[in-house]
Amino acid sequence: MAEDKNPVILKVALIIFAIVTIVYGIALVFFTEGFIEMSGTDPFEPNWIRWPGGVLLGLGIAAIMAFPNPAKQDIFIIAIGLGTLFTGLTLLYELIFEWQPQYSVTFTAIPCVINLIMSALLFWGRRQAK
Amino acid sequence: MADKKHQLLKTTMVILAIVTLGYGIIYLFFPQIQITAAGGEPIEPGWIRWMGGILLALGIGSIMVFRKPEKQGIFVTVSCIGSLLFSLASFYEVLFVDFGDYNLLNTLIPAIVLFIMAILLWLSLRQSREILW
Repeated sequence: MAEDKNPVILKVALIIFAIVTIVYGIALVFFTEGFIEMSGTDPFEPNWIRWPGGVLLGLGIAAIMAFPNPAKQDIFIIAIGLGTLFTGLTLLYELIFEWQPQYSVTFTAIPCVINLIMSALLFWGRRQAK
Repeated sequence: MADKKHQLLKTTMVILAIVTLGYGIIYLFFPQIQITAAGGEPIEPGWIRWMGGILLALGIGSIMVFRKPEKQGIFVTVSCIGSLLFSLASFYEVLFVDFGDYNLLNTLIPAIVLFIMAILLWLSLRQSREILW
């Protein structure tokens, strides 16, 4: 009747989540113009994507804080699990329905796959850690 | 009695849920509304749609924390840091960027709201320390 409490997968998911959100957060806040240029779209007002960088940085810091005892932070895990799922699905929608030839496929496809994998890892890890 | 002591936390979570769910739904499902309201040169909706997903998830999390705030200090902390960084980025925009055709209020109002949110969240973190950690 021993309970299955294995937080390893959840901890790995949190590390990946922290790295991805902090890297994207820094890129969006501090290197916004370069980020837009990389995407292949026409330049636009960088402030549109600067503020989401702040939110991503906050989420990355919280993931590091949750790392030592992730099983107790269930609501945070559910929130970031849903956030990565919604983001992955949104990017998938972009790839399928709103694609334009001048865009860089990898620029959207890679974050799409990473977000969907992170979401699966977070929810799977949550189950294992309970 | 205990519930009264944590009234600020609960109220703040409700306000946070309303703000994040409201913006989340607009960004995710109707990004064009936000783009039109901002004025100026329009951008591809895809650039802001993904952020709606994250805001929506944070809104759902806020409702969950409202219902059961015990040991959820990290969620409240991240909401506080996120709100503060969001408002600072927006204030930077208002102060140092030439708005031209853009609607200044579209940036200034969320900047003020989120700055107040950050203060309320910080006060809630202090006041409800014993149940959040």
